[in-house]
Amino acid sequence: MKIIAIIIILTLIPFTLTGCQDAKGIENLAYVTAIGFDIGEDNLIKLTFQFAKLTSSDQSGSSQPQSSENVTIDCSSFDSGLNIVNSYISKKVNLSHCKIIVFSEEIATMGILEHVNVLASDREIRPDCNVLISKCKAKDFLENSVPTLTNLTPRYYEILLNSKEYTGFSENVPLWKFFINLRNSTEESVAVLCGLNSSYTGYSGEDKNLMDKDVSYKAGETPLSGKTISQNMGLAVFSYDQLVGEMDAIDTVSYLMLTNDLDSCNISVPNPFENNSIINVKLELKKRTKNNVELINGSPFIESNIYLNGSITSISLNTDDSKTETLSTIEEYIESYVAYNVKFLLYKTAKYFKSDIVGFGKKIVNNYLTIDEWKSLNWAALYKNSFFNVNVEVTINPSSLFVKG
Amino acid sequence: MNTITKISTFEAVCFMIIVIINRMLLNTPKEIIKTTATSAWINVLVISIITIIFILILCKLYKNFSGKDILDISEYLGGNILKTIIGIMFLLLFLYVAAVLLRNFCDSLQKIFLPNTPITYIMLFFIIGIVLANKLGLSSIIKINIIIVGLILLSAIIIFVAPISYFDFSNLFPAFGNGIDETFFSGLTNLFAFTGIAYLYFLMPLLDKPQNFKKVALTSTIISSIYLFLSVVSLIGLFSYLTTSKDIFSVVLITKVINLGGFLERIDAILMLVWILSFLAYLSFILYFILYTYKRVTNLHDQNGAIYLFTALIFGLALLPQNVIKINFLDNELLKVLTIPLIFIVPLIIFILANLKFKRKNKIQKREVNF
Repeated sequence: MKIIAIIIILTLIPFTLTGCQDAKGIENLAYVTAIGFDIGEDNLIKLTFQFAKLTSSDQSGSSQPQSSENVTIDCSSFDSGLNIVNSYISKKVNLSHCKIIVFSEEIATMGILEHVNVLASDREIRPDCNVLISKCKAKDFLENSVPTLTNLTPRYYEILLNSKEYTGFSENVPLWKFFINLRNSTEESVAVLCGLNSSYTGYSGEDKNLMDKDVSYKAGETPLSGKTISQNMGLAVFSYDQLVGEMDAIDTVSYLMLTNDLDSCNISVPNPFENNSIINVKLELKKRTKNNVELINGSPFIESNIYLNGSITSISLNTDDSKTETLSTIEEYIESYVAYNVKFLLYKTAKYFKSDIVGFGKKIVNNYLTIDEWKSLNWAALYKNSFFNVNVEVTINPSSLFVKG
Repeated sequence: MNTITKISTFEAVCFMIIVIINRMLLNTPKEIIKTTATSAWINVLVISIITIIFILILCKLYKNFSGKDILDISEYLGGNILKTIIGIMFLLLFLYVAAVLLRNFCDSLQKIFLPNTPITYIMLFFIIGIVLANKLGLSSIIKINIIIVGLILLSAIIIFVAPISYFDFSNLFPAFGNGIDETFFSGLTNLFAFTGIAYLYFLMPLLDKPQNFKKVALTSTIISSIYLFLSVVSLIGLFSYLTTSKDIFSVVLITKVINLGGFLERIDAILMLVWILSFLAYLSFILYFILYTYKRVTNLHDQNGAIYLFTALIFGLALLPQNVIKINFLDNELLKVLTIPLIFIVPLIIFILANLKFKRKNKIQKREVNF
């Protein structure tokens, strides 16, 4: 009996190997690290696929993406573009390692729900892949996104997007969240704003003072010297599926404070004790921001209470921040500075963007029992009539590394 | 195989958990959200309470029939004819559920992880697995199942706790979703989520301590209710009702957004392995109960020969649906219609009538003793 069982098992084992018949190893697959969407020239859209080039590491023998190669194609849809690229390159395109999806401003202004829907339904694309809106053409952005200070392209995108944790000048917007908010009636979508900086680009907007200038840049407007590099700074604002505006760095910090997503940020405010001097402060949320929404005479009244903890990172030697009175004056100054910026952003979202990106709709949706009742309120139309009140409470710790003499 | 294996209370609870949770793992949460939208969590609370009340009534009705299954009770009530009718009814139901679930699970597996593998090839792995498991007997399946239940509950904790920072509880509102009617009345068809309780009717003779039946039934139903509630709340909390109702394998959606720090990403593959094991255990149980019912209805002594027959039948039936729409219709729409009468109403009527007969007989016996 045992011999028969062994014979049967040995006969069956070779059949399990047939699973390898159509198996595809990494040498047969072309891994896409980024996808770009532009308006097409010969067709509806221009798709750019950024492929990771795999090279063998001498020490470990493992394959790591060392650099990238871009392929651009004019096509009618994402799937047809993918098919054309599949027939063009020698390997099968695989989207499971795609880190970013870039839409150009042009195409985003026309509406991108159709494209996002295709991407969100794709089984290979991960829902945590980030959505970016490029101020230049997506193709140009991807071609110039050369990893700096790292060799790995996917890792470069991860690090680039994680900068929001210590700057507060951007936000991670995963595809799943972006897609949900495109169809959400209580919150509109935002996406990461990106662009290319070179020695030729530079902010040429309003005449602002020095510290305001530092935080009023958007991606692609920063006067950086050095070679052309990609940058993410600020956010792109959507109303339904259309791009309606952009937020600069300080707007983004205010937005993160309102949505409780701020990890930490550095801001510069004028020194109230000294002319032509600034105080640099590192801010983080002390506790969760409380947003309240009430309907008064048919218009939403929105109140936000922001609680911040801060520490002075640099201050003029002539200002003694160890004194309680000095510190409370600085606190009051920062409170009014933050309140002004947050209020400015809120009115901008209501009157200019007409888009509830903070998600204040979520605060009153629980007052309605059924979806029909909520829909009849038409929150999207109502939001533009909103009026706001912002209260900020800041607790500042003095710069105490060196004892002043 | 020929003698009935007795199982402990703990083993029975694990068995019931795997049976009910597997039903929910596929597209039950999605189906509930589709019909009730934002009020899915209230609907789950309602159907869970109804199921628990039903279980309590069932336990009360079982008091006079300790150690007997529904086939024994049917025989007591209506003789061999009723026993055969009820036996065939459950046999067909188990066959239907096994075939549809096998196809649905393999179809989802193919779409998500194995796009280049033929569906028959994937299905054969499960088919061979359940044949071998049933050859080894209930005792082996039950013991392996204990380990799988541990893994499945651990995976549940990871699924519901890891993405908690992304939860948006405002997605659970408006509380009554598509309306009070959909939440409380027409939404009651979602009781199909608890089709697993059908196995409770056959569990009593298998228990080594039949007096613990209530404990088994209640514990497994409560754990499964919590699991279903958390699945629905997580899905709506993360993705809102608009997105969730479209995906095939809804719980996989949650796993795809889980990143445990920067060092552990894409854990969906590990969780999928756990689910495959749990599905294999579940399918083995269904085949066991198909064989058990068949043996009881036909009064066979050896059910081993029927293993190949019923496995081939499950495999053949599973291949019948031509596309996802048909699978979804069979798994959700048709099963919804079948569940309430076959699993809730018919057995309840049999139990009530059998109890009435039992009381009448008792009364007559007492009168005869008095005379």
